[in-house]
Amino acid sequence: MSMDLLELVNSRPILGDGAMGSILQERGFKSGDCPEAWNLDRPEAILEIHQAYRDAGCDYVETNTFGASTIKLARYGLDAKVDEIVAAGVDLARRAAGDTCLVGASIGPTGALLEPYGDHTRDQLAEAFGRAATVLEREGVDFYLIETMSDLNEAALAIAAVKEVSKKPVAATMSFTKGAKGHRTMMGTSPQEAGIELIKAGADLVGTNCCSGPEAAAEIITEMAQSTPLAVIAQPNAGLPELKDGRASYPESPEAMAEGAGNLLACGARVIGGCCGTTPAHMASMGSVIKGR
Amino acid sequence: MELAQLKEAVIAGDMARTKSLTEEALEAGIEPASILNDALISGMDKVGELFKVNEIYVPEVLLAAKSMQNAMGVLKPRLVDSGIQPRGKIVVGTVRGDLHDIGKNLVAMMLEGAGFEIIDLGNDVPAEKFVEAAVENDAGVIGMSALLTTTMHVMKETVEMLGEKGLSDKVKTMIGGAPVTASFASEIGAAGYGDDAATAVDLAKEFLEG
Ligand code: B12
Repeated sequence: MSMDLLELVNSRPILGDGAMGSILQERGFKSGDCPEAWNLDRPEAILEIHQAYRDAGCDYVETNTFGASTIKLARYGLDAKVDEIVAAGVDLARRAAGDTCLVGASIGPTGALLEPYGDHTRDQLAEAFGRAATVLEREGVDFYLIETMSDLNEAALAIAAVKEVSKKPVAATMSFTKGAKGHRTMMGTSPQEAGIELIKAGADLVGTNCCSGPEAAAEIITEMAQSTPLAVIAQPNAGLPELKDGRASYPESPEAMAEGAGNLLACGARVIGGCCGTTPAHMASMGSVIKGR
Repeated sequence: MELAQLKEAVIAGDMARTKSLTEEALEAGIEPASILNDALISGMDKVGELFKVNEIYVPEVLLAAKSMQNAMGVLKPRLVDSGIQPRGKIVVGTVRGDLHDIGKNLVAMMLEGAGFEIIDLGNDVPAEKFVEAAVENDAGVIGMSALLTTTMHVMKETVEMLGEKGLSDKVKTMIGGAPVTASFASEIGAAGYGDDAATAVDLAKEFLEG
């Protein structure tokens, strides 16, 4: 693909990638395993998932590197393998993307809390993000997607780490839950505040992901748009999972997600993808609405 | 020296002030048990209430809990001197396959704040480890946290294992975490479900003190 993410967003609405984590479950992944380790142990499975999303019409696939920071990998005793895991993640996404779609570098939270709330320093987080970003950039991604963030400070450190090694576009999304005061991140940040601060930190596009569904995403995007015109990314879950016969199942059908995507477009979203529970079928269905316009 | 000030310091999450006011209160001859109950615990109670209605969020709760822990460092030796027993032992942990520990930590901190002795097994804890730890430590309650729908079954396994070992009456289970519901708790036979840390404290009191 010859256009970069920002040019593409300016030219037409974009169909983002679908879920990785929840799909892995269907291929024998067990809760408690390390998803990113599959880049080395089960590369064919990761490649097939990327290919399925490409074939569903996604305009980008995201590297399976969401938790590939030294801090998060250390929880599985895999921190020493970080470079290998990240490099393999880029290679698999690139092989699937070919010239058909873009490769977005996924960077998720470290899972650690910053001082004074938790026991990690800003330097520790900056170093972990810097390490991943360096390998992502070296291996050649098209843009960065810093996602599922709860803490603005952590998101800003991730953005800064990317900016330090790359000139490529950076998108940043946060995860909100609706409570008595409306949508807030776990740390209490509102969509409006998130929009302002993420742009200040250097993000080119902002939005939300991993929210309870397309309706919640539409509310969040609408609120965020009050503080910035760059609030355009929505990657909602296919609803919140319910336990059926001991298995997690996500309630929203491909058709319901397509309808939700239409509503998101009307709210000003320009990059609409899927988070937990979405499948290639969901993405294809959403694509017919998003690209049909 | 007013205990109200100390309580305010806990609520505000002012770690240094909580500690120094606790020291002052001790010097002023206020009963350690009164400092604990009327300032620290009542402060944490208020924090739990504010959190429940979204007046404050996770950062404020964590700071308040840390302030409380700071003060406990000063207070604990004096409580032991004055012969105050902890309220009972509780094993807590996030279940196997699940690394989400923020909610579990809040629950542990609030329970500790309420005067219970906590055995925190961390995250990724399998059923047998919960049961073993309860037996070894003679704990009356196991508190389990799960944030993933796919890990909730571990709670069921733990409840069943306690049943198999004939421990269901001796060790009560309480469960929580975003995807967990009261109906799931009754379905698997857990003794209690709590949707926030304050409820965890209520349940623990009910189970250990009747
Ligand atoms: C922070 C977070 C993370 C962090 C965790 C950091 C950490 N050290 O804990 C990281 C980035 C590591 C993470 C990873 C993942 N996460 Co996550 N995460 C969250 C998030 C944003 C907040 C969770 C949280 O801490 N909330 C704040 C605390 C205070 O609330 P709480 O845990 O519910 O606890 C309260 C009550 O439930 C109760 N309680 C809790 N435990 C107990 C126990 C007892 C006994 C009692 C009585 C009460 C009680 O009291 C607490 C205080 O009030 C949620 C979304 C959300 N907003 O809930 C997703 C969420 C939980 N994650 C999710 C998922 C899918 C994942 C991942 C699989 C991938 C991903 N998409 O990120 C991995 C899984 C890793 C693993 N194996 O565990 C999903 C789970 C969906 C589901 N139902 O299965 C959620 C709901 C996001 C979503 N909308 O889909 N995540």
